[in-house]
Amino acid sequence: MATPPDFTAGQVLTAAQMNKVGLWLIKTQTIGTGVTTTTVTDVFSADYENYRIIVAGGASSANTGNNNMAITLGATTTGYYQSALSYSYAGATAAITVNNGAAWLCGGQTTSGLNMILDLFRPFATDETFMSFSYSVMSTTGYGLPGAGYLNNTTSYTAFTITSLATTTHTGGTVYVYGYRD
Amino acid sequence: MADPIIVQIDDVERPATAKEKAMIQVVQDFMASLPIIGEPEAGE
Repeated sequence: MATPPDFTAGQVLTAAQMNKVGLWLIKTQTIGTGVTTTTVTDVFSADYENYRIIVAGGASSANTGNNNMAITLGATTTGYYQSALSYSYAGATAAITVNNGAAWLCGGQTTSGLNMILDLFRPFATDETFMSFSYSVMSTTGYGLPGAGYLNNTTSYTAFTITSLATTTHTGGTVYVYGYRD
Repeated sequence: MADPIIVQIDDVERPATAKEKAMIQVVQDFMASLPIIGEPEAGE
């Protein structure tokens, strides 16, 4: 037998082979029309310790502020920390630091689209949750930003919420939640 | 009258409750409090 992932047509996969699948799609959520927040429930569990969340497509209703969007876990709006330093496309310093803030700011939103790559570590565990992320602001005056941070509490979470900037809403796009095999 | 704030919980979209509006306000106020990238800070 070929070594996975070079499977052959008609091949029967064993549990041992399937258990080596490293990234499992837990949930796909399409963002609706003109929504301020999108909450994705029941995605974090004892099944996986670490997760990858992708947001792609759709659009913001307007370009404003830092053209970014927020992530919160559960109903928590305090204790978020992150540091992120980069440059705008024009070469100006681009930094977004969160010091005991109300959310992580780890996604980009413009009228051209929404995007986010977020790795979330141990959100279900009764321990601090840490994360790393990157996003780009799809605008000629925008910026790209990688960063990392953590949530300073020991709460166990099962859900997260994406929030748009004030006076903006999100329409369309897809949220993908994957679990990393332990 | 201002458009209602719409929240989405999985596949369900509906107007935000008072509690949800309060949480959204906290998050959006925090986002708005951060310096704008590419603009000079006060005093520069």
